[in-house]
Amino acid sequence: MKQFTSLALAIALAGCAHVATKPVATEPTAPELKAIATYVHGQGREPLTVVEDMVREAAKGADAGAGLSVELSTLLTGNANFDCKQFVCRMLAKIGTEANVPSISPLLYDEATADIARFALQPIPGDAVDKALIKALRSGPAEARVGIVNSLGMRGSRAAKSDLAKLAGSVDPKVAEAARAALAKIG
Amino acid sequence: MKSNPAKKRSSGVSRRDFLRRTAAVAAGAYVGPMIVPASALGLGQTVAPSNRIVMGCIGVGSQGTGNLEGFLEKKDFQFVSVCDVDRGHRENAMSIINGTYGNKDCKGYNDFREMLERTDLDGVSIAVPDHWHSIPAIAAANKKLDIYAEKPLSLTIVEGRAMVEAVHRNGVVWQTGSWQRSRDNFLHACELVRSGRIGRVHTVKVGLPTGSPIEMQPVMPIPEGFDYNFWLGPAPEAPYTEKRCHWNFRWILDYSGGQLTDWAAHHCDIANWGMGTEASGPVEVEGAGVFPRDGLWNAATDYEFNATFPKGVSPVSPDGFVMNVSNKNEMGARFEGEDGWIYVTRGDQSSGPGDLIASEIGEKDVRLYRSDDHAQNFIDCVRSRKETVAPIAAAHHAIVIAHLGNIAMQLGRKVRWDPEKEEFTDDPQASRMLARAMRGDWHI
Repeated sequence: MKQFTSLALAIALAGCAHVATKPVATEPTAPELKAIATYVHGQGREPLTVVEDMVREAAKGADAGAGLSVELSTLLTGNANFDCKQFVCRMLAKIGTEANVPSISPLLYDEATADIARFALQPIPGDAVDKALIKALRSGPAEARVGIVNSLGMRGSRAAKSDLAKLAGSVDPKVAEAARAALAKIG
Repeated sequence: MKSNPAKKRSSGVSRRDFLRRTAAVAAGAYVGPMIVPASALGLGQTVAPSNRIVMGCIGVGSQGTGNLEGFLEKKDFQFVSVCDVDRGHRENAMSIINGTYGNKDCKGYNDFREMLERTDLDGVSIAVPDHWHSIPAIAAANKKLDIYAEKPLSLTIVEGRAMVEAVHRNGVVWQTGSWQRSRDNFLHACELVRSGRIGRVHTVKVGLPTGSPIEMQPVMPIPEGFDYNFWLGPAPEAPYTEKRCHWNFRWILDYSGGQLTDWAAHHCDIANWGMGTEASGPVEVEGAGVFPRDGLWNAATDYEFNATFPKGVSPVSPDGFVMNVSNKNEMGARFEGEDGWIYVTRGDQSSGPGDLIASEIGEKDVRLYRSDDHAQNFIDCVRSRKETVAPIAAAHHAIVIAHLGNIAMQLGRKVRWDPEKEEFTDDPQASRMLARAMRGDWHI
């Protein structure tokens, strides 16, 4: 429990330093990013490794990778393959900020992409992430609901407590059990 | 042969409750650090069916089946159920169990949650890929089942902490498959170190195996009888290919930490045992690893990092020490002190200067937990309700070292760690790597 609480505190504190803004780029400019738009599992992984290198180095920069994250997130709003978007979400889990939320959160509303969106959002600090997850919890696809509940629990999202308390009484046992577990983590 | 669930419910006292209550009474007269083996009391070969420990298996691939075959040599156990998402594995294990008992009583499950609904189980043996360690272990603990589980303990630090809390909260007996603790040469080496035979220890070199790359694999049809979606479980969506699954999971970071975590659970555990740091951890970790740039497998093939332990956490290293973990070191644990060194690995040990490894542990020396039979130790502790030789907290602190090493190597820089709070110090980016989101409905 201590771990969940401390992680939640870190997320909340870090979130104070950011202000949610919409991404400005509409498509990636870096050729390394353009090269992965058509990536599918089974192809050589080298182009992805190049981007991983970029992410690791950007994370050491003054903006902790925020600039690169905005460019990366444009791959989520375009016609990139699912496998590319999944990879991008993994990278955003490392360097994403609240500024990426408008690009990521629409994926929560599609059962096919809700999980990869959570993989990106769950570790990103900031209230904007909690708000996006709570909004999707209320109005997103039912199939994504348990996963969103779980992510809110892992984030220690106090803003989600009232929604989770309602869901703890859900007639859907999976939702109810997940909500109770999430509330226990949030404390 | 099996206990009768209906009878248990009608009596209101389960055999598990009975075992615990009698153990509590016995504990009142308990003196000394040794757990008297059941075998020493003549129980090993003559355990009445009604007094056997009723077990189920979760995961019966190569490791799980090997564990099962060892357990079946113990007459204290009665295995009644098997769970595996690969039908071939499941049916093979059922056949082994039924062949041993000469009946057809063993029931197979694809979903561990269904197996855990049984009311006749006392415990479970868990041997699944690392990305599946936390979920069934926590579920079993919440069902008040005693647990024998494979190492490494966890996929992430947060999952490991949740497992520790679940086991402690529920008061269940836990034993990790870090069986080196039940080998005399490891115990002896650690007792010598803890007794000060090499003086103040400044360095522990931990040697682990080298990883392997493999070329990218084609997407393949899922074999009949293999519930691949369940196998993936909480891990990210990925298409099936043979080299992703079963034994090979350990080469892929979505499911494991590579050879580093697979073997740190043994040799970092021994390093902690010798240094007396099983309840603490390093404050800084820094190193470098070679991660395959292409191909299916992406865990580090070569790696080396230093974990710096601070003053005051080890009784044999008042000024602190460095644990150097690498595939370049000789396999095992080498303790280096001001007055000498001791090296221990599977089937071998050495020391210098001279042959101090051959010296005996005296009455005034430090004695550690003695177990000469890992499975029997689990049995004895299930009956006595004592802590096993490989408790979950020790497994957690050992694997945290490896997780920190992996995180530092992936970030390409030093990380600072607070072992008490289990938090990174002023490092929001590393903090993102404490846990991972889980696919679908899975959660801890």
